[in-house]
Amino acid sequence: MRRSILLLVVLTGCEGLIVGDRPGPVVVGDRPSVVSPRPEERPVTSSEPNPCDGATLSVPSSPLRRLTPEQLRNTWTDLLGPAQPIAAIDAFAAPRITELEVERLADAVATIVQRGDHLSLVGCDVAGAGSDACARGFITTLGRRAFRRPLTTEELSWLTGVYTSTRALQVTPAVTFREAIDTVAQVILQAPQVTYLNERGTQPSSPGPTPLTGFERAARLSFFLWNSTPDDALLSAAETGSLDTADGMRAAVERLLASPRARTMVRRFASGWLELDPTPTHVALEKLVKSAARYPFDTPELRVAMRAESEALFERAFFDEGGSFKAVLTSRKAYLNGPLAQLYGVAGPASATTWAWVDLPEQRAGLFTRAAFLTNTAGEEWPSPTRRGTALYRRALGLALPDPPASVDNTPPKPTATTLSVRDRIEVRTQPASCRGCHAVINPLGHTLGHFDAMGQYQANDVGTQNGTPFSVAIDATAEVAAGDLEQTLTGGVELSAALAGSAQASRAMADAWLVRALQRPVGTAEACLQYRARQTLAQTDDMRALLVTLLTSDEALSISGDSP
Amino acid sequence: MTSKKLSRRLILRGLGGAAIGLPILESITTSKAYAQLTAPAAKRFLCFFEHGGTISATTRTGAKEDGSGEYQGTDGWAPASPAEALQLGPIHAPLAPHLGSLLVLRGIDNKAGWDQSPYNGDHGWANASALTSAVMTKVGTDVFAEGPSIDHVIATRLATRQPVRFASINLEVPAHNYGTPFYTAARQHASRDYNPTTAFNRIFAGVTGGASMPDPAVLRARALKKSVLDGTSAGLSGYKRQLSARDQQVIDEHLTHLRSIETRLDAASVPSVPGCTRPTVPTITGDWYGMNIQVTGPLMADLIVAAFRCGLTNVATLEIGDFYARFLNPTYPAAFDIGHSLHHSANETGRGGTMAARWQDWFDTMLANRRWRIGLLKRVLDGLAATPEGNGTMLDNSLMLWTSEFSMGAIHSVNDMPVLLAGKAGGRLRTGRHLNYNLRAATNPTTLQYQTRSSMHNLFVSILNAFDFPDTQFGSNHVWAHGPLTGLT
Repeated sequence: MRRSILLLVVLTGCEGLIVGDRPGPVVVGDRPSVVSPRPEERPVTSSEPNPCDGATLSVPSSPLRRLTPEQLRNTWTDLLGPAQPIAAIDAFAAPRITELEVERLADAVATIVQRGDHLSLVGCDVAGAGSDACARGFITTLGRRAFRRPLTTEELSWLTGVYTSTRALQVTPAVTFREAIDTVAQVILQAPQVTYLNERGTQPSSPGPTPLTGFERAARLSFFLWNSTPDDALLSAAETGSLDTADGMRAAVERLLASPRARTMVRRFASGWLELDPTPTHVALEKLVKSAARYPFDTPELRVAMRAESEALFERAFFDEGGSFKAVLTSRKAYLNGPLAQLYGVAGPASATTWAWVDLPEQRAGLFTRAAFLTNTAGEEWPSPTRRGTALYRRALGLALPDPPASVDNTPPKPTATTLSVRDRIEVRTQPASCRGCHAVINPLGHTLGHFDAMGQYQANDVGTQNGTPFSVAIDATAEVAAGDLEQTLTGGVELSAALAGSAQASRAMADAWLVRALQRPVGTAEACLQYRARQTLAQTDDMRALLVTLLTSDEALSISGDSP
Repeated sequence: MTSKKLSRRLILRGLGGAAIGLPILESITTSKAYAQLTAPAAKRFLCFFEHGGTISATTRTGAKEDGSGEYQGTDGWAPASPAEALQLGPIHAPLAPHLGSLLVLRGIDNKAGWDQSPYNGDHGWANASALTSAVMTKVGTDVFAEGPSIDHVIATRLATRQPVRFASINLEVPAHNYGTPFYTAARQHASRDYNPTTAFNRIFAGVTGGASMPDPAVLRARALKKSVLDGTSAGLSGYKRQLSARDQQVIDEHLTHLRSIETRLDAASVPSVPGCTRPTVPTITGDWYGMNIQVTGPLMADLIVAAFRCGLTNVATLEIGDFYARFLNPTYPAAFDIGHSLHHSANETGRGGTMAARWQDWFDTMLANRRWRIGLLKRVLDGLAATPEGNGTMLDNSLMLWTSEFSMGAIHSVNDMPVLLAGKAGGRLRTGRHLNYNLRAATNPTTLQYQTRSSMHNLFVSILNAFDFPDTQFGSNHVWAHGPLTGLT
């Protein structure tokens, strides 16, 4: 299990979304440079200093940012119809675009336009000679939806210019009306007004906070709640001014949350929070390799089902159980098909294609005792207490791990013939003092889930062979946990889940995770007040829907600060 | 040196160029002038980068494992003999047909990585320094090089000397990794294409493979495409005006990339080059995670060869992720299907480890993995060696560098890095050799002890010199001494 320590090292090195645990302003990745590392340990008190106390409104800045690849895909699909060919756009949306990405963007819109879905927005015969007026009509219609607001005069003139100059190209045969429309459609679909999000507010030149415009609010709402571009109704609401008030915003939030798109967004949030999606350092849940000898029942379909089950649990808590975060952590309800029911050892649907809500046995409660998380944080044959503990520490508690110490000997001690259990092996490996700073915190969290094997089945013993000799040793899932505000002896996953449900730290971590999702960037000092309000909302209501309303309708959320120099 | 005949051409070049103001004979007899004038410079550069290190017996200090622990002291990278005459080790064995074009260098450290990494071998720091030897900065949780990698420096300069459609083409065999080593500038990663189909469409657009007259239909399509790019550029320029200075930089970069694509489109007619044929590339779809590298890896190698044959670029890079390939029928499991966790299993399979009984399984799996990677190089070398150029082959006029971010991946060692050169670099490299810069090996070639004063910085200077770029230093000051390596020419 040597790999675990190194994976831990790796995980700390590629952190993306950790929000630290400090009262007040928090900057992602802002950790002390470490000589003798210790995880952040600060007592959580209910009397967190209130960063919203200042006389002036403390509001987030709003740097230009690119849509995420998923948002761009959804946007094109919502503009032009389903199943747009968008595989060429990839998931590495760094702040700065690269040449290859610019080229892929151009290629993707060329492919989309070839399909011709945009032609339904042309008000005349596209196969005919067309007219400038007809082209202008097309530009105005597609432009408004794509740019998320009516075109400015300059934009209309730029795009009609593209149309006329294309028609005037000196080529043989001459450029057709359809070709000129296709050209301008490509320009619109890859325009910065589509691919970037730029918020200027109603008074861009004023130095202080400025309210977001109605159209900017519409984009906020839809990219957060639908992960896509606003629909016509939302743009109309912006146009009529109904988004200018908090009440109007709340009504819009309710409407958007009632859409199936919001359910998709919540399910994707759950998968993201559990880190089930692939990154260059971690394969997707569906592609993790498991030992066929130990887990002969494993199939690609089972992995897909695992993800669906965890997403359904989160979705149910969000939409049908009052947005309860505690329900996410403690619910024994599970949406299962036949193979999943077998894995959990419960009576359930007979086949892989029938699904039903089932009560799980008392060994399980909440998302961290479900197959998706447990499989994702385990090796090919054995569970990984380190990986599980690290995930709990980072994701569930929202705490950051420091770098390993400079002097660390990454050739840890080897387990001997008598250290057989997963727990013992990990403890031997992480015994050196230089490891304890982190592992004394991580390992116990992971050990509480020791009864769940590498695919999430419940087991009483660790069973295997070592150098040809079979062994079976009882699992000890009792651990002295001391991480964040969890300071207690916990036995098994149910107690762990209950402890997390009662943890102020965990509640704050969930609020922060939604805040990061809303911002699509790390939380900075400018967001301190908004962060505080978000944390307070969830702490007081346990309602993630209320949290989203706060993130979208509080005074801090509806304004932005002027450009920083 | 003096035993070589001075050709008439050499004398004339000495008279006309390199050393005006110096006595003729002095300029010709200094070693630098000799090297420059006896052989033309390398024409093209290839850089293969494999993630995760190699099968090496190197410890964190550079000293070798004695066999009692990890790897049981086995080294798959080192040549079979410590002698200068190269005898290929296990990983390099598939390259036997090109033995005379290879140069295995040992005893070279990534000193920029060692000196700057907070724990002397962190993935992020090792990757960012591997090809840049640069000063590095940690931004948030990511480590960035503060300068370009060697391939980009060469590409930029060669593009001036030998104009081509692409200053370089950068391809990828996508798999697990901790960050690319390829940089175009401070904190700016290079773009890599991981899909051979899109790479082909991009690189070979408009290449007809011998036809001299451009197809009117192609010209028409190009004009329409240019309209899209022009229109997009105009839009970006207008958009930029309403942004803050900070945000304008983002759009400026976008604009720069767009103009570079437009420039390529303008120069899309490729003159007929003998031997230029468009490679056959099937339609492959999927995202970064969806590539079947068993198929895409060899296609990438073919694209590189074809691009060189068609004169489309001077520089090619191939970044190979740390995969754990099922198609190689591995007999040893890796956690999470990640090549790097296979590497870390070296601890279990070493003597005294819990999996010691499966050491051979582990080694076989690792060797097959590393040989598959080397197989991609062989494919490229085969292609270049089969392409006549001047009095020799394309390989003779090329310089290939193969390296990784680690020597022994299991312990993240950045000492005694794996360095393989191939191609005679136009005659600038004496190949078919093995050079060990481990000072302790001078008296005892099989020693386990290690001491060096050579770092990747020095290697990169040597490579620049082989292209006739007179640099005396590259990268940061984390060196024992600046300057080139000795003994390569």
